[in-house]
Amino acid sequence: MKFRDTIVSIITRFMLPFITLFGLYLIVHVHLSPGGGFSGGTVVGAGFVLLSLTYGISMQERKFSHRTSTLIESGGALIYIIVGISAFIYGQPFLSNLPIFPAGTPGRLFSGGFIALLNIAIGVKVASTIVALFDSLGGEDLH
Amino acid sequence: MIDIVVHPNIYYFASIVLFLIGFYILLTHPNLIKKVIGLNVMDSAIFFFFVAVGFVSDGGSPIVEAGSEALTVNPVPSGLMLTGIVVSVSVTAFALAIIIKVYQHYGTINVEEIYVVRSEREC
Amino acid sequence: MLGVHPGVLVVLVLLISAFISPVLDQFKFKRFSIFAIGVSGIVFALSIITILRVNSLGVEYYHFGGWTPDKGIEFIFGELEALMLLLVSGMFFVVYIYNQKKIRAEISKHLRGWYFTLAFMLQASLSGLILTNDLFNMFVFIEISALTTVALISINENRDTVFASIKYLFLTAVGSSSVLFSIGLIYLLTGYLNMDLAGMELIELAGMYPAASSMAMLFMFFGLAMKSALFPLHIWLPDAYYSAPTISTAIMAGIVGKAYIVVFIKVFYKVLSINFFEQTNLANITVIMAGIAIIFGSLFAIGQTKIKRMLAYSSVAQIGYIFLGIALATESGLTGGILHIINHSIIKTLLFLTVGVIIIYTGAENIIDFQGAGRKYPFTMILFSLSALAMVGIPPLNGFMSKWTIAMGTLEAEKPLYLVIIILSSLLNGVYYLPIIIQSFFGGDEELGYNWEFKRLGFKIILPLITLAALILLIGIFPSYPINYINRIVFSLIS
Repeated sequence: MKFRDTIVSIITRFMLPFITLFGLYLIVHVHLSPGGGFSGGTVVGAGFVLLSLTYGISMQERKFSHRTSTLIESGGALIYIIVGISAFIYGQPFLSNLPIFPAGTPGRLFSGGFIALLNIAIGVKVASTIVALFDSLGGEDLH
Repeated sequence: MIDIVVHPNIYYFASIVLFLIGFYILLTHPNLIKKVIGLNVMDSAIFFFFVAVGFVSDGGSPIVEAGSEALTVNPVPSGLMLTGIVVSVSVTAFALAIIIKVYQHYGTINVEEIYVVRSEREC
Repeated sequence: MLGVHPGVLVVLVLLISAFISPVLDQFKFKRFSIFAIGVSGIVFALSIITILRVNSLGVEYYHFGGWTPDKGIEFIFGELEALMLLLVSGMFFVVYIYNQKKIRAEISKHLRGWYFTLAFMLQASLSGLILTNDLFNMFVFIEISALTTVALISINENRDTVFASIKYLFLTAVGSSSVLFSIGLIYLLTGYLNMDLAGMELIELAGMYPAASSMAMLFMFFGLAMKSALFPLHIWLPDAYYSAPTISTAIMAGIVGKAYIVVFIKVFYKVLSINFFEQTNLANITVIMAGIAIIFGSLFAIGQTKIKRMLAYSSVAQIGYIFLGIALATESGLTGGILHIINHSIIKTLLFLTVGVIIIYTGAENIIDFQGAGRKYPFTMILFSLSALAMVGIPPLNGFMSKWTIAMGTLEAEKPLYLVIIILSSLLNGVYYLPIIIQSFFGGDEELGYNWEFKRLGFKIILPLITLAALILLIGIFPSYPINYINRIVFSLIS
């Protein structure tokens, strides 16, 4: 299998920032439009998979090693739980709306409490999972 | 214009038909990967069912301004199905990983041939 | 810190440990076993606090995020949930203490960190499954526990585990899809996902929409019966129990199966009770299926050559007993069913732990190889005999109490045929357990003396076995404490 196909590599280099930007847009606008952590994270992960499909697995290993992906996955989930536990300090049940996360006016970006923050953690975790899945299931043939 | 009157519950009928098709694929095809496809069709039928539960005819999209009283589609089942889709993807990924291991150990992914290999080993 | 309830802390502590374990694994942490004992000890202490709190304060609800029950998720801390939480936490604690030396060596070294990640996730999802009062939350926890159980089976890669895990994965995924479909139907009918509110709505709606609510009940029954291994949907059970490593089998047999039966009780007594008991005769069909399970499970167990498969088919029969008690819906029947959940969990775990010692230390897999095992490992085989006799139902051990109560339930429900089935199956149980006991002590090499194995096994393996055996004797000799507690549960469920 020959890598560094000219057309594919030029298109990938051109498209990758847009794919990542679109994925981040989906993640952050969870409270305003359909989307959220899962779908946005999948798009960002698919961008990284495109990178490894075009340039070979070693490029992806350099940018996103196994240790990084493990730390990111655990970190995302732990951020979720810590944000939820911070409600305990105010004497309220797990994952309650807190005064420190402003509720804002509906329709603007900085509104809706900590929904966006949780979904950023989930989005990062899902992207890392998609990359790790591709790495372990299909990556061996690409060397 | 020919006006075809469709039964109001058509989405539920379609989802049950899809569920049964997926179940049939899962039961009858001997190839393991086709069974995974059948499982996916079954799960897609359930997602379709849930989203149809939330549908309100003559309803607008559920993006509301503060204080408006318009009739909107129920967004709760669609939100539940986000979680459901992730669960289905996880099960599919896990099943495919195990199928790779089955192929490495048995040399085939046909269920009937796997049974033959297992019964030969027992003797 | 007013928002904290010890039961919620159970799930949170387990989730945090489950997510920290991969990080620890990356930093070459070696002492996962001690970490697991510590975490499960904390969780066990929290569940004891929960049950004491429920005993004194009564039923409590915990609303996540401060949302009211019709919009948000809530956890219910009632008597049944606290008791089952105590059982799950206690069993995991005991199994983790047992996980020492050679038994730990069954799982390869570089996978140990991931094994405990999966085990913590499994315990978190089982605890959440028992405590939750919301149907979709229950589905999510069911899926997490299904995936982690499959991963626990296939952690060692050989021909048997791979085959067993793909079979289990397909069957359990079908079950979960059925449960999800049924939840969708219940949401369509009632508009609520909360178990209490949906149950109250279904009491009126079951008469107005009999077809839809009966379909919801059928799909839910199919899904949960597939996961609890009720005959004839038990097909995944023998392969899965046989090929998994010893600790995974003990966890699956003692804990995972019981959690799904508790979910069955909660859903079919709170949400779908009218459909299950009055509108259709699915309750009678369940009684018939349970009766067939009792007889055929024992019959299949008699013809087995490998010990773990025999114990697996014996589990199928005992699950039939539990479903018989639950589906009869009389006071004694339900009391016996819930008591048998606890008893069977303790007895089966002890059986698998003792058999595990013998399999790992002597390599004996077939029943024939157990000849003379009583001389090489007398203490272990004494405990095996104790638990086997408890399973058969000999007084004054705890198995007798639960079987007696279920038998009383069959008489209350005026189905004396099942009394005959229970007595017959107790005889069948004796047919396949007693020869092992006799052969292990009196068979084999006649000149060999009794070689007590306390030094060879060590304190940490003997201690869990003694604890479980003591529980068997205590519940058998003083059954009034658990039965009084369970009577309170039954009273609140049936009324």
